[in-house]
Amino acid sequence: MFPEILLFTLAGVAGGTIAGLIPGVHPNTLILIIFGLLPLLVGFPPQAVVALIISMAIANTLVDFIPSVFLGCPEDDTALSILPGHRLLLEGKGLEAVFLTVVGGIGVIALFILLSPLLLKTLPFLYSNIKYYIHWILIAIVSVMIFTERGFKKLWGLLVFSLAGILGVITLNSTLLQPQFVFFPLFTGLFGIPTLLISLKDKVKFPSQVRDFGIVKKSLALIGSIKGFFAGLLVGILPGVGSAQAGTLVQIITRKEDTREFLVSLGGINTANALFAIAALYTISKARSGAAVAIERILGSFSFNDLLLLIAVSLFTVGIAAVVTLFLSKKFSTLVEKVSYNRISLSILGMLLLLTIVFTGPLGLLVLLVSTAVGLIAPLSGVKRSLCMGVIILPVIFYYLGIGL
Amino acid sequence: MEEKFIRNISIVCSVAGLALLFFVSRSIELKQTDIIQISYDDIGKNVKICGEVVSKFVSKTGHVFFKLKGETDGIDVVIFNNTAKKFNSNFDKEVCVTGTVDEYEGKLEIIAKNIQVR
Repeated sequence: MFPEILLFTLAGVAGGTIAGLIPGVHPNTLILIIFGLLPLLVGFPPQAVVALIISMAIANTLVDFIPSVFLGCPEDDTALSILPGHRLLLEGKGLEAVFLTVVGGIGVIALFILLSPLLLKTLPFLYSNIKYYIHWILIAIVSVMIFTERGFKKLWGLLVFSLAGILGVITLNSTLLQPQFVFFPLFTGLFGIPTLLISLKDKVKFPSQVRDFGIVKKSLALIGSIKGFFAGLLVGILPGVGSAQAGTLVQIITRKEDTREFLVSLGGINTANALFAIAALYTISKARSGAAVAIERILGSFSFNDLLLLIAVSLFTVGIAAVVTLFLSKKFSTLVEKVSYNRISLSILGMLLLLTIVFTGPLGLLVLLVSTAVGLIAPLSGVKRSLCMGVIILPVIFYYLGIGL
Repeated sequence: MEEKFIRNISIVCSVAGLALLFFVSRSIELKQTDIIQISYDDIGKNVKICGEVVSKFVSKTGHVFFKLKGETDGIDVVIFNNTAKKFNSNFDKEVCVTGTVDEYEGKLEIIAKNIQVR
């Protein structure tokens, strides 16, 4: 069985890498393709097929940051990385930005393995208790975000959060767009396009990039990973809470100048999210991600041995995917330097519009335009852009408060 | 001045756009799908199905469960309590359900977003 698992894991890394590099392609899309191919995989051990799925999901969480940092193309789990990532990119340190997210991914898996005996005991307790308070936790997070704005900007912050929240309530609670594609126009409009438009308006010049990944302090890696780990824990056990909400929580407890630590945490959250989804499947028998749903369906019952196997596959995947991510980020860094930044921005804008039409049609384009208008207000009024996360935070608050809209 | 102008335009476009999205989302109608045509490939997709309500059950927490029987097949439908609050859950005959295809314990089901009594 070992050769099959190894082969499928490597194929998963390749699939997750491709999905990570193409904006708008989520690993769940590839998982659906794998389901279509299941009749062809009948002769293979189910554990190998599951290794394919989990390696794809985890490789994707690392590679995902490359388009986010270098092209400004976000997905829901990387949207918050755009600003700090872009800031470092414009300082010529795009490679360092990607490296920091990789450090977070590696740090989190190390913590996960070290703490797994404790986690397996405490997850059921945490799950059954925290879920009753999640809306209050989110309301507290949003209040802190708004009230830490200075003076009159508090009102602007409230306006941005409310508009983004209403946008989320309208689009996520309706059948306007197919659920698997609804986040693409939303996050592209709220975070991606405003970043590109403002860069074009300010005639930003793409600086030459530093050719190495920089040195990450041990303390920074450790603190960032610990924050990412615990934020990822929330995502892994709570329905309706995604990497984006967890990232917003980490952003609040991280000082503004700690851009690097925040990037480590964001990298950690995404990997932790994938790992805790596996742990939740074993400890509380709940599927908290597309990959977990697929694993549950293929394996039927999920044993302790399956858990150990998937942790081993995850560890191997993080190692390989980290090398692949760093290699590809070097290629991206060289590539973007050769072309004028304005031309790159315009090409990406065109590509985002095209992908939106292909994936979501004219209604998706309408959602993209409205999201862009909302997404522009935050930078133009000088408030935190993470307030645009209201797009998913407000619907989750309503869900937990039992408010039906 | 230029930034303020763009910001104000963005606010106007946001409010007008949200109003437009709201009305479009209310008026949009999915094409009706036959229950028998729904497969595991449709998980995560929105569908509209119509049929007869069978074995309806309302849990203590307000979640509504029933089977929707079409001409040739049936499928389980779940209306979570926060969605159920929007509708009068006294329906018991022919309805059309709009919702997302999901899977629970190996069986396909519909997580309802909208119910229309026929």
